[in-house]
This record gives sequence, C-alpha cells and structure tokens, in this order.
Amino acid sequence: MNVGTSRILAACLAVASPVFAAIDLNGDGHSDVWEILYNAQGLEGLIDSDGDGVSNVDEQRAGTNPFDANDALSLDVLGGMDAICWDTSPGKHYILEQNPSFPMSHWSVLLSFQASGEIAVTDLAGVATNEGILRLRAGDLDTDGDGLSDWEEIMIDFDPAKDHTQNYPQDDYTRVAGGLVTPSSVLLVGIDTNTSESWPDPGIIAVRRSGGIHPLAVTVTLAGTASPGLDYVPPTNLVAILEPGRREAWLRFTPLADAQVETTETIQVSIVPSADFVVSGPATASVQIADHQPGDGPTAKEASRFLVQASFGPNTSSVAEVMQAGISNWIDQQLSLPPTFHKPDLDARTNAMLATYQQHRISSWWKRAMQADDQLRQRMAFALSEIFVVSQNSALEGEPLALAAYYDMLVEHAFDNYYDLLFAVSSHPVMGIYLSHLQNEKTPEDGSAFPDENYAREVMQLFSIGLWMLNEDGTQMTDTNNQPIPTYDNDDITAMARVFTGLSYGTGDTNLWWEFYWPPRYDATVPMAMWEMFHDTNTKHLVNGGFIPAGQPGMRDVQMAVSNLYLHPNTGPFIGRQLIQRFVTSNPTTGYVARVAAAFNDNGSGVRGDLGTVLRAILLDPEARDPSFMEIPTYGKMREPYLRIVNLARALETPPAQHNGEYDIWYLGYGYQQEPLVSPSVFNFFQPTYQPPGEIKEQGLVAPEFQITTAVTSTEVPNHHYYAVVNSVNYWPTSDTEAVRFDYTPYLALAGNPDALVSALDRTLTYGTLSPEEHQVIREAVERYHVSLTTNRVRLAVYLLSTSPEFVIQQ
Amino acid sequence: MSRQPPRNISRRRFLGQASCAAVGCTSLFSTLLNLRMSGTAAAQTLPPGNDYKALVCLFLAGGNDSFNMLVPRGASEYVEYAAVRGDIALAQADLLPINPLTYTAKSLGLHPSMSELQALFEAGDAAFITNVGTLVEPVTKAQYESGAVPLPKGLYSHSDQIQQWQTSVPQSTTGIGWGGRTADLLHMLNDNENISMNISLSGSNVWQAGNEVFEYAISNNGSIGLSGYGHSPGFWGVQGAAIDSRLDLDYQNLFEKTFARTSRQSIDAHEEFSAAIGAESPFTTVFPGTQVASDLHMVARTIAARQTLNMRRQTFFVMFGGWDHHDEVLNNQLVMLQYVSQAVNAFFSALGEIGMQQDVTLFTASDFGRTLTSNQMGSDHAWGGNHFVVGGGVNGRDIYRDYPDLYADNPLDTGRGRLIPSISCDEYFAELALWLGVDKGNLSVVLPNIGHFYDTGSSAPPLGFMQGI
Repeated sequence: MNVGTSRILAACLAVASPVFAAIDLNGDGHSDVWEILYNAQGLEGLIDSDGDGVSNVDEQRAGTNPFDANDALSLDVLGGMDAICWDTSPGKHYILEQNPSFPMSHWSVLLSFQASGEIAVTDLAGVATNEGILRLRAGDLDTDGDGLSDWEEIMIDFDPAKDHTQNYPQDDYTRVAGGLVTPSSVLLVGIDTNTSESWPDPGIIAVRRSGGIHPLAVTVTLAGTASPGLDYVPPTNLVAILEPGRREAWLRFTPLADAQVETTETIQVSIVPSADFVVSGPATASVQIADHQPGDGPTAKEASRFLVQASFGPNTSSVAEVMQAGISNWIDQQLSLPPTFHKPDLDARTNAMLATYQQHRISSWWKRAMQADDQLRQRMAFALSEIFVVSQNSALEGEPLALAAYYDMLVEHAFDNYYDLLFAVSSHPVMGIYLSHLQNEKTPEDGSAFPDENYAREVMQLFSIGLWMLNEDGTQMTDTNNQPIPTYDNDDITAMARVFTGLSYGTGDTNLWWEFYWPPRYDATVPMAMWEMFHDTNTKHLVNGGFIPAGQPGMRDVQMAVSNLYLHPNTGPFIGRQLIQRFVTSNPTTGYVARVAAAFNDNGSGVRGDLGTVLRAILLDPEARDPSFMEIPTYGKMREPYLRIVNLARALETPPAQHNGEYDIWYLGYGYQQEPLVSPSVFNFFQPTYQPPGEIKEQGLVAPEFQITTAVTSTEVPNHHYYAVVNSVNYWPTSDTEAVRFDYTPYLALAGNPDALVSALDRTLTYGTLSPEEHQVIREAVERYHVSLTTNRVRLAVYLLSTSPEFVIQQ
Repeated sequence: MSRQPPRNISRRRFLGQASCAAVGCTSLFSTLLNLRMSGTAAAQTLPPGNDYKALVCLFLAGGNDSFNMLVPRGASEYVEYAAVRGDIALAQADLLPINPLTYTAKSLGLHPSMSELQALFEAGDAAFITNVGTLVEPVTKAQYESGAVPLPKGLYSHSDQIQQWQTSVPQSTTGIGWGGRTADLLHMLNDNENISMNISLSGSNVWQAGNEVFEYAISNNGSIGLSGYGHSPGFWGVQGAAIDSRLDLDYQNLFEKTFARTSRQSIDAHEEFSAAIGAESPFTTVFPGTQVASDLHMVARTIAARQTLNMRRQTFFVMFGGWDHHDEVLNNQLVMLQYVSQAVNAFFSALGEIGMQQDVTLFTASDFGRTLTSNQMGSDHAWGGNHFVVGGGVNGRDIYRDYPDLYADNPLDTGRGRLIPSISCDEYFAELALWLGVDKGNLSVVLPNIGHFYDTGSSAPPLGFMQGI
C-alpha cells in the first residue's frame, strides 16, 4: 500500500474478482492448477501463509505464490504518483479503478485488460483526478469456454484460446482432469546420439513423460566408457525438471576433443527411480562420442553444413565425398573441375527443331543444380548472377539462348580473374541489351543526343565499387564532417557513358556502319564488337584519378575502364562482402570482410582479383567454419527461398529409374519471388542492405533475403513445399516420369519410430542441429497419425521440417 | 482501448523477468508496455467520429519519363519542348488537350494514351503536380554546382532515389518511410490487431515501414492461406497444431525469430482478411486485365471491406515497374501509360460504386524524371518529374505551381535537361499527410525536412491540391 502526495490521496489494492472457470476437482475452493504449481494443496483461504499481507485465496486469484512473501499483487508508484506499475501474471484480467473520495462507493474503471505477463506501467497524468483512492483487482477469464481459466491453461502449457489445445480430439478440460489424477510415466529417448570429438554439436537425451501434468523432477545417473569433464561436458544438473504440463525435458552432452587415440566412447544415462513417477519405457539411453584424429575428415554433420553453403545442398553422395576428401581438398578438387554449361541443352532442342523458351533455360539450370559435379562452380555462378544481374523481365524475354549464354559466361568465369569476368560482362550483348549500352552512340555532330548512361552507372554502383568509398574491412570511409565519401559524381558517369559507345552485335561487320544497326543476325550469344565510327574517342576522366587518352581504339577504352574499376580499392570489400552474404552470413564481421578483401587484393602469388582464391577464403574462414559462431544470435542467413526447394530436392533425391532426368520445374517464380535470371530489376530479388522491420533493423543489421519474405511469400513458399511433398516439385507434370518427386524410401522404414524419422531428416536437412523443441513438435505431430499411415507420416515430417525456422535459416 | 487477443499471450511462463519495483522509473516508459491510458501518441489528435480515408501510392518504378506524360502543347511551348527532346518528342497533334481552371501560364496536353485521365482531369477529379523531386532544402543551379547546399545522396541512382521518394529524407539512408511514420501516428484509429494500416500489393517497401507499423503484403488475389493448416480436432488439425506450436517457440537466433514472427503474422492476418474480403468482387466496374489494374481492383475490394476490418485510415502501395526507358521510350510509354490511365479510371469508377471517391486519394510517385535530351530513342536518369493525384477530395482540374521551362541550359537545367525540382517531395507529401489526418504540428515528424519548404504555422496549405486542409 502506498500513500501518495498531493495528487492521489492513497492507492490501495484489493483482489476481489469472482473466480470462475477454474478446475477444482478436489473441491477445496482453489484452482487445482494453482495448487500443483505452488504445491499448495489444502490451504485455508483466509490465512496468509507467507505473511505478505495477502490471504491465500487472494494469492490464488492473482496467480501468485502463497509461500513467497515477495510474490504478491502490489502497486508501485513511480515519480510521485505520476505513474504506477505492477507485475502481471499472464492470462489474468486486471481492473484498475479509482474512487475520488470517501465513502468508497463510486468506483470508476480506469483500465481493464488481460495481461500477458509484462510489467504493467500506467501513466496517471490527466486520467486520475487529483485526489482519491486507486484499487487494482485481478481475476480470471475463460476465453475458449472450456472450463479452465486462461491463466491455468497458460501455466500448464495449454492454449487459452482453444478448447481443444493443439486440435487434440479430447477437449482441454478432459485432458487436464486426467492429467491431475494420473501419475506421470517417464522414459528416456536418445534424439541426437551420434557425436564426435571434432564437432561440438551436443548429444541430446529426452526425458519424456506422459500422463501427469504435475511439475516433476527426474534424477539421472551417468555411466559408460566416456569420462565426464574429459570426454564431454555433462549437464550442469543431473535432475531434469519437467515444468507443469510439459512432456519433455532434455539433457545435453557436449563432446570434448582430446589427443588420445581411442575407440568410440559411450555416455550411458539412467533414470533414478522415484515415487513421483513410474518408468514406462527405457530407463537408460546412450550417446556415442566418435574419436577424431588430425587428418580425419569432417563428420557427416560438419560436411553437410558446409555443403549447404558451398553447393546446391548436401545429399548422401556429396556428404560422403566431403567426409572423404576433407573440406579444403574438396574445394581444391572443385576449383579444378571443368565447367558444366547450360546452353548445350537448349542447342540440342534447336538442333532437334524444337522451340526453345525461357522455361527450357530454367530446366537446364535445375539439371545442373541437381546433377552437375561442379557444384561449387554452379553455386558461384548463381551467386554471380545475383550481383551481375540481367533478367528475362526485359527486352530479353524472348531470348532464352542468349540468357543461357550469359549464364554460361558466369559459369566459365566463376573462378577466373575478376577483371576477365567484368570485361566479359561488360562486352556481353545480353548485358548490352539489358542495360542498353548495345548500339550506344557517341554524341552526333549536331549535339542532338547523348551517350546512354545506364550501364555506366550500374557497372560502378552495382558491379564493382559501389556508391561510397570503403575501407578494406567494408566499412564506409568518412570525411572530416563524418560524412560518407562518394566514389563518383555525375561527371564520372557521363565520361563512363562515353567509354561504352560503339558496341553492337558481334555478328556484324564493324567496317560497315549500317551493320551497327542491322547486323546480318541479331545474335546475343557472342560478345559485342566495336564500331569505331560510333565510339567517342575524346579523353575521359575515370574514377580514382584514372584517365583515358584521346584517339584510342574503342575496345582499348573499355579495357582501361574495366581495369580502372578492377584496381579500385573498393572492389575487394564491395564484391567480397556480397559474396559472403550469398554463401555464409548476412552480417559478416569487419575482420571477415577484410580477410576476404585481402584475398581479392592478392591471391598469395601477387595476383589481384582471383575469384577462386576469394571463394576459398570465404568458405575456409573461421567465421564460416567454426561451429561456435552458430551460438551467436546474429549469425547466419536465410537460405534463399528458391534454394530451399533445390536443397530439399537434392537431399531427397528422386530415383533416376522413376524419372526421365529432365527437370521441367517452371512457374515457381511467382510464389518464391525468385528464379534464375528472373529478377524484377538490376537490383536483384533483394538488396544486400535490406533491413526487415523489428529487431534486425533495430540492431542495425541486414537480412537481404527477408526483402522477399512477406505475408504473401511466407505462405506461398510453404504451400509449394506442401505441393512438392504430396505431389511433385513441378506443378502439373504431364506424366509420371516427368514428375520430380521426393523419394521417401529411406524414411518409410522409420515411419513407425517417429524419433528416428525426425532424427534422420534432421541429419539430411538441418545438419543435425534441429533443436529438441522443434524435434518434439514434429515428432508429436507424426505420432498423431496412425502408425499404418507411413507415407502420411513421412510427408508430414518433411513438410514441417522444410518449413521450420531452423531449416529456413542457415547457420 | 487496449485489446489483446489471447493468442498473443505466450503459453510460456514469464520467469526471471525483472520485477517492476526493481526497474528504474526512467527506462520504463521507453522499454515496457505503456498502456496508453491517456492516448500519449506524440500528442497527435485523432480525428473524431468514424470517417474513413485512404491514400494509394502508385509507384512507377524505374523513373517515368513524365515530361512526355504532361506535355507542352501550345505553339511556342511545343517548339521549345520538341527542340530539347529531339527524337523522343511526341507529335503536337497527338497531345490530348486539357483546360485547367486557374493555371494559364502554359498550354499543356496529355500523352495520347491517357484519355481516361484526361476525362478525370476535366471532371475535376484529377490534378497534376509539376517538376516534383527529392530535395534536402531549396537549391539553385549555382548552389548545385558549387556544392553550397546539401543535395540528396545518390542523385540519379535508382536505388537511392526510389528509397528517398519513400522516406522523404534524401540526406540519409533510412529504412523508415513517410507512410510508415504517418501510420505510427494514425494507426490507433483502426481497431484491428492482426492487419496493418499499411497494405502493400507489391511486397516489402520502405514507404510503409514505420517505427511501429509496417506493411501487410497481399497479392491481387487477396491474402494467401497456408495449405493443410486445419483447425478441427483430430487428424485434420494435426499439421496446423504443429505449426502453431512451432511458431510459439523461443528462437534465439534473430533470423529464426524474425522468420517465425513473419509467418505467425501472415497466418493470423489471412484468417481475418480473407473472411472480410470474401470470394467475389462487389464491383460491376470491369477492370482491365493488366497487373496494375488487378492490383488496384484488390485495393478497391479492401476499401469496400473497411468496416468489417475496423479500419478508419489506410495506405496502399502499388508498384508498377519497367519505366527505366533508356531505349524505346515512345513505344513503351504508349502501352504503359495507357495501362495506368485505364487502371486508375476503373479504380475511381469502382470507388464510386461504394461511395468512396471523396475519401480515397491516389497519387503517383517515381524514382525521378528523366533527361529532357535523348540518348537516341531513350532518356537517362534525371531529377524533377511530373505527377498526378486522383480523387473526389482533390481540388482537381488544375496544375500545381509552375510547369518548368524546358529549353537547354535554363536556370533549372543541371545538364542534359536534368531539372532541379521546383516542388520538393516534402511539399507534395505534406499535402497528402495533412489530408489523411496528420496534425500540422506533427508534419515534421512525418517529413523531417518540411520546415525548409513550408511554414507549418501557416494557415495556407502546402500546395493547395487537396480540399479541406
């Protein structure tokens, strides 16, 4: 109770709401849930057991602990009665009232609301009159009308808004009434039992109970060949606490590396029997710790995590490859593999007199993503296609061969020198059409038109140096006024626009002026050629003090301009940071960017711009490899929406015998807002600086892929997964062999053991990192399908896992 | 009234939370739930009654060449126009005549594809705002050249200008838009916990992102439900129950947490939105089959459901892309401006069916205007451009302020016909924000630079193109 100063005479509290909808099987007038929560059976209501001034019955109405004098409903006053605050209990309903004067007969309601457990803070200024008494009442609601109060349901992990929590066939009252009178049955299940010295992913044993809903403590003992503290970090407490209504608690065992050569060691966990529960299944479970010696390859989990970054997703054979070769060797092998191109598939159609559309380019892309051995190169080409953006959403809509040729150019130069890549991009007619420097002319003598500035701007802003001067670690330089420093101004743009004049279709004769406009073939698959008569040969100033003298051949100008950007100090951190974002994490540390930029600046042999070395540096950096980064809440990235379905398809390989080997997977772009070379603009599907609303933005972080994660796509994408899981990855296949279906064979055998099923899918899809909470959600859902529904069980598990936040976010 | 549906109550127990007595007084108001007994939202007075108003932003992404949308038509004006535009000039005889009520300085016409807009203009339901662009503060050509006045960052760049048209803070990079800041002030007028005041037909956008409010994205078929998300007890409810349980988990990783939150919100919003919108369009107006028309059709359907959704203020964002005509500007605009004109006309007609023409204002935005000079059948990125507003609440059939001179090297021309804007985005948007219900005293909250262009203490409106402000 608090006595106010001038404004409020007194603030007093009472808890006097009628209690209703509480479960009281023992008929003692108190909520049974409150009783089991505080072990408060049989208390006399009018007594104040903890002496905090609030009687037991009032403690029960407020949901507070009758044995804790510090836990009771009380009002605190802030700032001389300007405001009041109190601790709420979730689900309780609070009414704040004021009575301006004695006698206390005219209570007026200031505030009435249901709390969610926050601290309630209320400003009194302008609301309460200057003098009077405040009272606060707490009571219950039963939103879903199931006979249990909202507070009770929240306390025992039931849903206060549903009379059938989790859509169980039984209603909530029946389940809770059963749980109150049934003793808990307990057993142990290993849900992540294979660990390795070389990988700190913990082994997890679930303590699972059924029946009762009381709070429960289950003590376990440890045995086995592994020594706690030496071979693994044991749980801090060997008592598993099951909160009221909870059905699982988990014990974690983190393996520790040692230098000893040893066999696989075992941690054996056993339940200590107790009168509080019956053991209804296995009372023991064990975790294995595999030995690891220098020179051993990575574990399956580690290899699988790496392949999410470095390929279109792990599958059984690629995981085995990486485990065999080791990560660094695997990268080296990949860097030396010959490229697999896409356009030959389209050429084959042309040769067979078949029409070719953009959908065939997408089919070819899928075939490479699913089958090509040069996975790292293909993955890099895809990343490059999201930086050096061209799109069929343009005048290129009818040019599938040309777009395939452009993509193959990215495939070819994926591990090449950045200078060669940027020159190939700049002289490719597809880019020339997309950003309109094809058939771009110098200013005519009458001065009636000017060179097109489109490519000139984007080659600097997006493909090389960006808008702002950068330090090597990717942070912006600032001037003396602490302002960022532009890399170029509009004069640089107009000069660069003059560089990119005189280019047109490579199929034309550059000696004939008319073939600049009308070549014999409009072939956008061969590099552009230079018509000197349309090229501006005046001097040009480039960024960073670069200069192009007058009178040079046009292609020499282009080379010098590309070289100027290649040598710019921004290019390493600018391109490097974006590549890190495509492969590893959205918010790399400045040190990570600096290490990658250093690899760009010098590959170790004095060569600048070696993209193979850059990619190697990205993938082998501690920030990509060290599993401890996964503990950092801001680490990782969203798997690109389109790559999620590709990852899924690779992991659940369709058997070739049932499939024609083609991947006619079209029309996904709308739902995913992403498809290769189908960006809405040169700014890609998402921008590297995008900040979604909420905590990510508040912390000044970015999450590019969230730009296409809206209320629309966050249902469209799961809905396609649902279609793929039940039917096929491609919409409306015309035959069984055309259907790209998931192969559930390895999982159907596990359908009768949902724990094993979820664990197997965890290894396949989430590199063994699935949280026990998510495991429980999926396992319990699977168990609710009858055991005979094996396919339905597997489909449900795959759908739920592939749409889970833990799959969607890669770490 | 603070209403909290039980679903938002976590089923986890709040253990280990600091108790109220242990928290310092000063931090409480900023960090904890403020129950807003006194309606403390930035002292914004909320319009009384139960009126409804909506703003529709039609964003022509890529930079509409708007000096070919509103075009000099009189004899001498046309000569000046044709000289500077060269091969991208429209033919004088093709321009559609318009007859402004008060503006007489120049004789102007519309692009030949925009006959519907011409009719809306002549009927007093449309107005043009000329040479609008991003500005930090007023700038002359001399100041532009000397750098004496701060200029928008990344002038002439798509990504920067498209963002600044949405933030109206061109001196910095911010992810908060003026539509979002407006909604931060006004969303209390809506009694809906699931569906944002700001609805986007075009996904994530900066304009509608506020500090508290951000966009709810729908498609032009409405909101999208989750396959297999059943509610009924038993077999058909298993998958839905698992999704609900999962989205209630505590994710430590920020990306996982954000993804789970987005998923939860989209599920909840869909249930309410789809029920309110219904399966059939209530309109007899025939909308063209273009995407922009389909988008505006869904906007109209949403407005028709305003009472079911308990909405009193809404914003809508519709992006129509593909305006970056470095090449073939004439052929492309011939088609695309017609799409715009027909779609806007159908939208206005549908609003008439539900008696909402007076309460809905559509305005255009675009990255920038384009160079007046040609790069041979195309134009490049520039600065100021022309825009239109449509609605019954518009002081229509007029041109707002002065259509600029177009001749080369005129006092606004920074080179190649890149015109310094004569009207800042702030003035344009201030008029719209005031109409929607933002207090004059809060204009600088919504538009931080407005003080450089408009005296918020003045009784005159910023530009005068809206009624009743």
